[in-house]
Amino acid sequence: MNKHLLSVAVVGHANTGKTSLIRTLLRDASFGDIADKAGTTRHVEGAEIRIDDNHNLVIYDTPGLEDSIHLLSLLDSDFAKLSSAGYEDGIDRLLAFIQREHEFPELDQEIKVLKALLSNDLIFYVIDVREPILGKYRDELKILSYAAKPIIPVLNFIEAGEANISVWQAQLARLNLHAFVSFDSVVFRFSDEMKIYQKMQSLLADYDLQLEALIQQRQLQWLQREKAAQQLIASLLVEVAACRFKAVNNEESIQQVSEQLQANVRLLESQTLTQLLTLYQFKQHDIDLYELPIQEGQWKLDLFSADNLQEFGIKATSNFVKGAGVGVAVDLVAAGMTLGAAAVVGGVAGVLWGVKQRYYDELQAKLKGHRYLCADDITLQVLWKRQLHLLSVLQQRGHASVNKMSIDGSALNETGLPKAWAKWLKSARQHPQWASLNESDQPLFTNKKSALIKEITEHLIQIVKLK
Amino acid sequence: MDLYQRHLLTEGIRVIEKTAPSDKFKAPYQNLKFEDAVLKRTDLAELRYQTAPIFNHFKYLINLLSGLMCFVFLILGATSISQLLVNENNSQINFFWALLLFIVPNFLSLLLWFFLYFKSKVVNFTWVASFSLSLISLLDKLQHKITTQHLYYPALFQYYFDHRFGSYLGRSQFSFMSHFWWCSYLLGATFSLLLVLATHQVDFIWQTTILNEDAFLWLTQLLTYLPELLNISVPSVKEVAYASINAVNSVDMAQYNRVNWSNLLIFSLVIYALMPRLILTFIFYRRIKYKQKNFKPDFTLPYYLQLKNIIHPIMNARFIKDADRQISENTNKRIPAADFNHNMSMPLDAFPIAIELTQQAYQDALKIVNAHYSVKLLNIIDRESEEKVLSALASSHLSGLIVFVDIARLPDRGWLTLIKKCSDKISGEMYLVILGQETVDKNPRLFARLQNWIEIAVKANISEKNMTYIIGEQHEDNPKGTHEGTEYE
Ligand SMILES: Nc1nc2c(ncn2[C@@H]2O[C@H](COP(=O)(O)OP(=O)(O)OP(=O)(O)O)[C@@H](O)[C@H]2O)c(=O)[nH]1
Ligand SMILES: [Mg+2]
Repeated sequence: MNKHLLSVAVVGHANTGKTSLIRTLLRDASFGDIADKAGTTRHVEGAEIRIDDNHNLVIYDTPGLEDSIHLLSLLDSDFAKLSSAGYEDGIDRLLAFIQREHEFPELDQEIKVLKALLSNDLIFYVIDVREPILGKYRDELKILSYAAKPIIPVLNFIEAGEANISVWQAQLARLNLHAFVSFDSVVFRFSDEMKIYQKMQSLLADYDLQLEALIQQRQLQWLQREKAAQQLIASLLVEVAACRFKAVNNEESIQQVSEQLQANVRLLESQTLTQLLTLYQFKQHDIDLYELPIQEGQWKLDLFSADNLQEFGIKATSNFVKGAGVGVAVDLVAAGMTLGAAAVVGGVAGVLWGVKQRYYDELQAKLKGHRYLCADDITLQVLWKRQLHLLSVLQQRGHASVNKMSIDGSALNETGLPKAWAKWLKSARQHPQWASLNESDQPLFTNKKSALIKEITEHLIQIVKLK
Repeated sequence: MDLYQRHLLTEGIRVIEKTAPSDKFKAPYQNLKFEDAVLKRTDLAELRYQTAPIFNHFKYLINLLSGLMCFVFLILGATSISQLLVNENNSQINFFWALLLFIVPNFLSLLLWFFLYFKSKVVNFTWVASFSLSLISLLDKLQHKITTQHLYYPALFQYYFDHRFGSYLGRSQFSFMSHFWWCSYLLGATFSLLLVLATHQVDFIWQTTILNEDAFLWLTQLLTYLPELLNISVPSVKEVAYASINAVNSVDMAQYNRVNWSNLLIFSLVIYALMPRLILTFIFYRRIKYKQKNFKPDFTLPYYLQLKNIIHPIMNARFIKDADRQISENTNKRIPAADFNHNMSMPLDAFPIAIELTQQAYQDALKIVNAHYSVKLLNIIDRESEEKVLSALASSHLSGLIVFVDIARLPDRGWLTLIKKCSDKISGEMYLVILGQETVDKNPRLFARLQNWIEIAVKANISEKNMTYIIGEQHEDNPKGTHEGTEYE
C-alpha cells in the first residue's frame, strides 16, 4: 500500500462525465460504464496509474450525486444541531452522518461519495458546463467544502458548452475555487490533460517531483506515439508504392492482376489502420462498438471508389479515374524508371476497361510483352491523406467517445502534397523489393528503405510542428 | 542465454508478430522496467515461437560459409607459393616477384578496404550481399535435405541477414571477414614458404626490365629497416646489388646470403602482410562482440510502443472499493416503450410549478400558465424556491399538480424526492409537462432522454396519460415544429 502515492476521487453530479473523464485519462474504453442518464456508475471503482517503480496514483470513480439538496439539508439541520459543544467542523458533520448511514437508505449513493471525499487526498469535481448554475450544484460544492480537501473543478463538455465556461468560472471563483481545468472527454486535447496534472502539481506541493515525473512520462509517451504513427504512415506509403505485379499484356490479365493489386493495397492499409488504432489504444471491439466506418478491418469507404477521390479533393475525369484508381500499367522496360508519367499511363489503362476495347488493339500493338501494374499516384494520394486524417482523428479522440469517427477529408484538401512527394514515389517504385509482399531474391537491406521512411516521417513531424 | 541473444530473439519475435504484438504472454510485468519486461516476455514467447534454433542455424550457416572460405583461401595461399614462386624446375626466387605477389596486393586491398570502410555510403554492397546470400542459400539447401521449415523461416532469415550484414553490424562483419580471409591466405602462403625454404635450396635474385635499379634498392632498404632494428640478419645493400647480377659467390657466402634473403622475405610476409591483417581481424572481432553486447532493439518502433501499451498499460490495476449494496434495481428494468399522452388535457383545478427551467423554457411555460391559471408560476431552482413552493402548495386549495420540466435537464433522484414532497401536499392527480425545442423522433439522444423522464415520472406515480411533451415557442435557429395538440379545460 505504501506504493500509493496519492489518491484522487472523481465526484460530481450524475451524468457529468466522471467515468468518461477517467476513461480518457486511462486510455481505456473498458473502464466502468457510460450512459447518457443518471445513476450509471453504482460502485466506487479505483484505477491505479503507475508513475514509477515506487509510486502509483489511484483514481476513484464514484456514483453521481443526485440529491444534494436533501443531503445538505440533513447535514445542515440534524447534524449541525447534534453537537453539544456547539461547534463542529464539516468533517465531523460528515462523519456523524456516515455513522448513521443506515437511516438514510435513499442516500446510499451519496454516502459512498462522502466516504470517498474523506478518504482521498484530492477531489476532482466534474461539471457539465452546458448546465446552468442550479441550486443543486451549489449545494454539492458546499458539501464538498465540508470535507476540507483540495478540489480541482473540471469543466467538462467544453466543446459544446463553451459559452457557459465564464459563468461557471465566476461561480467557482466566488467559492474560492480558482484553479479549474477545462476538458472534454470526447473531443480530446492532450494539452488539457497536461493541465490537469499541472494543476494537481500546484495544489499538492509535496508530490511535486512525482507529478512532474508523471507529466514528463506522458509527454514523452505522446511524442513517441505520434512519431511511431507517422512512421507507420510513411512505411505504408513506401510499401504500397513499391508494390507491383506483373501482367501479360491483355485485358484479362491486367484485370486480374489489378484486382490482386487492389486487394494488396487494401490489406496493407488495413494493417496500418489496426496498428494505428492499437497504438492509440483503441481496441478492435472499441471499433465495432463505436461504429467507426470500418468493417472487417477495412474502411467502409473503399479506397478505390470514385466517391473517395472526391471526398479527398482529388479531381480526375471519369474513365481516367477508373484506371487511375486501379493501378498504373507500365512497360516492362520502363518499369521502375519512368513512372513520372504515372497518372497518364494509369489513365490509358482506365480507357482500356472503360471504353471496352476501343483502343485496345491499337494499344496492344504499341505495348508488347509484359507490363507491371503498380499503385498509381492518385491512389497513393488518397491513401496518404486518409492516414493523416485518421491520425488527427485518433489524436483528438477521447476514450469516452461513442460517436462515429468521421472521415470527412475536406479539411485535408488544403494541405497539398509534400514537395518531395514525386521523389519519394520514384524512389519506392524503383525498389520493388521494399514491398514485403513482392517476392524477391535480392537481399533486403533495410537501411535505404528506413532512410526513406525516416525522411517521410521527418516531413510529417515538420508539418505537425508548423501547426 | 546472454543479453545479446535475448535481444536478438526479441527482434525475431517482432518479425514473427509483425504488426500486432500478442497479448497472450501474461506475466507480472508491472514491477519491471520496460526493457526487462520485454525480455521476460521474450522468454515466454520464445517457448511458443521457437526462434532460437532458427537463429542458431543461420549463425551456423554463416560460420560454415566463413570457415569454408577460410579453408579455400588457406589452400590458395599455400598453392600459390609452389605454383608461382618456387617449383621443381626453378631454384631461383625473384624477390621482386615475391613482393608483388603477396605484399603489394595485400597492401592495395587494405587501402581499398580502408576507403570502403569510411566511405561506405558511396559504394553499393548489394552484389556482395547477393553473392553471399546465394552462397548461404546454397549451403542451406545442401544442409537441409528435407525442407521442414519454420513457418517464418524466410522472414527470420531476411531479418538475420540484415542484422548481420546491414547497417548495424554489416561494416564490422564484412571487415572482419575480409581480414580473416586474407589472414588465412597469407598464413597458407607463409607456411608453405617456410616449408619450401626448409626443403629446397633456392637462390634469391631480382630482375627487372623497365624499372631502374635504384628503385629496387630503395625498396629493399625500406623493407630491411625494421628487421635490422630487430637484429635479424637481412641482406645488406651490397648483397642486394649483387643479387641483381646473380653473381655466384663462395659457397659459404651464398648460403649466408640465402638465409638473409629468406629472412627478409618471411619477415616481410609476416610483419608487413600477416600481422596487420591479424591485428585488424582481432580488432573487428572485438568490435563485433562489442556491438553485439550493445545491441538493443529500437524501442521507439511502433511495434514496441504497442507492446508497451500491453505490458505497461496506463492502468496498472482496477478494483471495486465501495460496491453497490442494492442489487441494482434499475438496471435492465426498462419500461417498455412508454409513451406520453399526445393530447393531454390539463385540469384547471391544479397548481402549476416549474422545476429547473431555463429562462426560455420558463417563458414557454409561463405562456401556457398565464393563459389558463391565476397562480404565479414558481420555478424551483434551489432550496429556497423549493421551500417557497412547498409552503404555497400547503396553503393552496387546488387539488392537482402540474409540473413543468425541461427535457434538457437530467431526471434524477433529487427530482424524485422533490416530487414526492410535493405530492404529499396535494390531494389530486399529478401532471407532467415536458418542454422541448424540437421533435424527438429525429434525435435519438433526445428520445432517450424523454424515455428517462417518462420512466422517472412513472416512479413518481404520475400516470402515463398525465404526461405530455410540448415543443415550445420557435426560435430563429429552430424554424419548424408544431405544437402537439394540447387542450386546456
Ligand atoms: N460530448 C461530450 N460528451 C461527454 C463528455 N463527457 C461525457 N460525455 C457523455 O455524457 C454521458 C455521461 O457520461 P458518464 O461518463 O457516464 O457520466 P458519469 O458522470 O460517470 O455518470 P454517472 O455514473 O451516471 O454519474 C455519456 O453519454 C458520455 O458519452 C464530454 O466531455 N463531451
Ligand atoms: Mg459514471
